[in-house]
Amino acid sequence: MNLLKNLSIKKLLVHVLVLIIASSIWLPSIHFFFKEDIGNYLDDKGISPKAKMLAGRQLQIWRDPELRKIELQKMQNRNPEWDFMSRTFFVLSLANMAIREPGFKDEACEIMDCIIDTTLEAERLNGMYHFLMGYANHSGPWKIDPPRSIFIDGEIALMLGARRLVMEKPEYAILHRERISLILERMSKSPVMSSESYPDECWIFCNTIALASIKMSDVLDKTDNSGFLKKWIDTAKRSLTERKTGLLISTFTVDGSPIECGFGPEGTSIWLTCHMLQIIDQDYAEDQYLRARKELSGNLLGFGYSREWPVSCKGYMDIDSGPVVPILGTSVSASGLAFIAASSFHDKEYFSSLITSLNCGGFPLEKDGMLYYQAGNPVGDSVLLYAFVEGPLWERIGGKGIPHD
Amino acid sequence: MRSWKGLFGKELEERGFHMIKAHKRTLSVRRYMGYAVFITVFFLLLHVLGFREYTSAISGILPGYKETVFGLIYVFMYFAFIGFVPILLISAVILTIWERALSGKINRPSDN
Repeated sequence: MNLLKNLSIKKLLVHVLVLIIASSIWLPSIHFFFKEDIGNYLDDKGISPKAKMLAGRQLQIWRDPELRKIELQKMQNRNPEWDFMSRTFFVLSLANMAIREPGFKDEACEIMDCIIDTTLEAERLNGMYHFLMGYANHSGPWKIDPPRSIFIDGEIALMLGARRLVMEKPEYAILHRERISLILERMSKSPVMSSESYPDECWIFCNTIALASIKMSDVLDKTDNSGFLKKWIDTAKRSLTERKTGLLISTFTVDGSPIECGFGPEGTSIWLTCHMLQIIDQDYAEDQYLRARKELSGNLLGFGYSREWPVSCKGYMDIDSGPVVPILGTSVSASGLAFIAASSFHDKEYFSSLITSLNCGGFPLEKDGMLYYQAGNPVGDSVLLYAFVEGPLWERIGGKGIPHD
Repeated sequence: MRSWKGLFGKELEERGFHMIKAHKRTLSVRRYMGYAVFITVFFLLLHVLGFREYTSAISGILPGYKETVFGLIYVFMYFAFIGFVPILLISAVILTIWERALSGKINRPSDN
């Protein structure tokens, strides 16, 4: 009996040992099967092959009214914000693609106009709440009168500005200036120069998008809001910065008090914030990127990812973060947005490791010359497409990332 | 029940015992291979049947219960395929080498 017992313990130990050896051979090698030349995704001048394929699906949606209706309705049902943001990132992508390939300019402008017009029409018919989550209606009063969301105003202004930077359109110039004027007026009413996305809820994500749209307007309309922009950066450094990490916090009230759902820095906010700040204050954006890289980026066995929160400042899961992987703190949404920052700051190492993860866990599906990421959705695809083509639009405005080779 | 020793003598008993051990080891290798083949065949079947398209379930935009289940099964089998199958195969190879090395060691004294 003892002999049998010793034998099975010995056998078990042998099996455990063998499995450990096999795992330590295989697990560090998996990433080689998913690693890909980033030249397939990023191109200095033209549009990369993968970007073209990824754009294919989005273009199909916006060219076909029936398909568009179905896809946008799906997004509306799931999360109205996704519907709205997929439009913004696709317009930004189209603007960059049009600058990269002048032959595509007319078609890109036509689709950008279609997106902008349908968005403005939806806003006109259903109000801003059409693109906001349900709680916007019943979470308390808006602090700045009349109620408006900088999430909506900022992104619409950004879309209008991007379209105008590719090719001027007088009707949009008027609309753009009107939005910018509203944004400036409302942001100026807050002691931290930030306006609400939801009632008494200011998001750094939305406010920095608004800043980028102001900068676009300065370039297009020869206005000068540089004093406002500089003051915003000073205020943010003073009042909207988390002390331990030096990163901008995600959510705060109109008077600048951090809100529980985003009291610290978050991957889903900071990566895009860094990118938006590139055209406002390059050095500050660079500093925020390097801090975010230190606090949030990770690499497990060759697979890159982004944490949703720094280790020292854990927050709460919400619809933006999506499910956060325990221990690693990885968030799919944060990792998706990290692509934009890694691309715009020319961080090839991080970008490459993120691509490896995308190829493994994004379930890419190539069909009819188009690329889909099955694990994502149209907003995810738009964000990725933007990360693959961004650059020229920001260069037109004056900001350019510094290589991190 | 008669003992091996009683039936075939000490030498045969020892040889029989080693044969059983070797057979058991072979069974382990076969079992590993079997798991690997099962996962691979099942995964490839799902892949050929187009279950990859249902992985949109992960992002939560597929409304149907059936599609969600299909998507999750595919995701589970996909990670089993890329994560476990090679580990099982490498383990089988290591066990085979181990087995051969051990049987060589056992056979060597009787060869002399």
